[in-house]
Amino acid sequence: MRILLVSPRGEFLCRSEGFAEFMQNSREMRTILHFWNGIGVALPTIAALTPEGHAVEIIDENQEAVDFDGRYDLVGVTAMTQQAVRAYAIADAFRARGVHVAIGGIHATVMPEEAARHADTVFVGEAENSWPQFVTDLAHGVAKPVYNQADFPPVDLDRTPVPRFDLLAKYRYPVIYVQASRGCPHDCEFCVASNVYGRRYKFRSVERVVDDIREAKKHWKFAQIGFADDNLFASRRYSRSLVEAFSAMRFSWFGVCDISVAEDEVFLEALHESGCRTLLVGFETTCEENLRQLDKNQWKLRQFSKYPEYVERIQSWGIGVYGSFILGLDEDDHETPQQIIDFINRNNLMGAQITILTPFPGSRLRDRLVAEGRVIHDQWNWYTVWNAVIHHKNFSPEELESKLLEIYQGVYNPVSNARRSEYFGRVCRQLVNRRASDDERRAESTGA
Amino acid sequence: MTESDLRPRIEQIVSRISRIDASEFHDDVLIREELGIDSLMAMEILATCEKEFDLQLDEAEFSCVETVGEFFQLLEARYAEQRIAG
Repeated sequence: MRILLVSPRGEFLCRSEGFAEFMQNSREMRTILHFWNGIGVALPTIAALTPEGHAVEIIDENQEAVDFDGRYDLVGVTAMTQQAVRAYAIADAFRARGVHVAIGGIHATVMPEEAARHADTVFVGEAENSWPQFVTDLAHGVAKPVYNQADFPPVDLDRTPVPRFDLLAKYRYPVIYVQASRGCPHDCEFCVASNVYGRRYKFRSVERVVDDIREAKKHWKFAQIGFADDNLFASRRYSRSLVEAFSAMRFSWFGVCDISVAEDEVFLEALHESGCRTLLVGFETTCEENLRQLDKNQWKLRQFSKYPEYVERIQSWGIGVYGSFILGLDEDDHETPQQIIDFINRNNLMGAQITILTPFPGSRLRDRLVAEGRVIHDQWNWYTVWNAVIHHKNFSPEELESKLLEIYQGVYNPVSNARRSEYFGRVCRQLVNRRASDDERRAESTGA
Repeated sequence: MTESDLRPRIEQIVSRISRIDASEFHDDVLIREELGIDSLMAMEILATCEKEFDLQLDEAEFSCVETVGEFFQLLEARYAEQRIAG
């Protein structure tokens, strides 16, 4: 069979013209988007899982148009919620040409009935075990309408082959995403992943992760490696082994983690030595009451008072903290935007991603907001996290969007940028001096 | 140390911090877009060069640099100025 796997293009980032203009004209925002541009590991992994004897092609629609008249026997489409509308259009177009279409990914997993209206086969949950079975079934003319991970043995990340990055080598990506683990111990109300994949951790062995990175670097020798894991350092023992292995390799990387990484100064040093340059940390809010409501375990609330100290400690090792914040949480009011700006600027965060609270299907948040009658609509292409799709007691949807722009402007402006640059210049000089002193001390102690 | 001795030492620093093999540092290669050196990495490179060669470098000046060749030229020029002044 000839198989095409498609990652649909994101429809748009935001409907606010002011915001779009700011994104376009802000050098910092353009740089951030450039470095965060990349494709998820899902499709190259699915390609690698395809049984032998079939020809597989991958198209990233953000890079290249799909040829709907191409001769394919099977088209597989993956989609996050904001890509769903485009995914369905692609699916409909291929089905109209008589091609068997399969849809998977996080959106199809939580909205299988909706996806089934546009696909011959829907994948629910992880597809590592079900995809090979499906391809074999289809080749024998007995493909089912639904393949649900729940009907297969648990996914063992170690048995997943190295992703077929060679199929994406035609594109120039500044970042290549790989995955070392799956799951997150926290239980944030807005998160879909922990609801779908559970809070139990799954790991890929360090050796396999190293193989994945080596394969990626074969095709993009200068690209940074980004970890798609929800919380890369949840197991410190595993993280230490990972970082130790990276130290012997030549690449720089970034990942997502919680703030507790700052508790271990030795680990921070090892992180820097292994090429870690940026950590995305979900602070979520600057309001304690919001944190209390967000996370059933109250873990983030307990860390709240330590945020400034921990950010300083991480960044002192030359690792930039890129903070993630949400606007539109229940307790947010008109002082919130300035509080977020102040937090980011006062703590010299290297960067920040601020989003509007979005009730993604599959999240506990959505269930609650639907029950409260606060979800405005289900037009998935607005679910980009930069559009307001909820009613808030203190903000109209338009205000949420204009306040979001205000926050970005408060963080990325010439004065703040210059201050941030001066701060990191100082941090780097201190780091260089500290390492020189350490080297001298070590040399003295060994009598060299 | 002469300016000609400088380049291999700078290459070594950039290679260590960026974790990119020095053999990739051709003059026409774009520092950010091709090598993927971000602002934080660049600052660490500048701070290390300052310490190593006893220079005063301006981050704003670096922001105008686009290629590997321009970066080496900038450091070589600052080094030469320092020697004349010193």
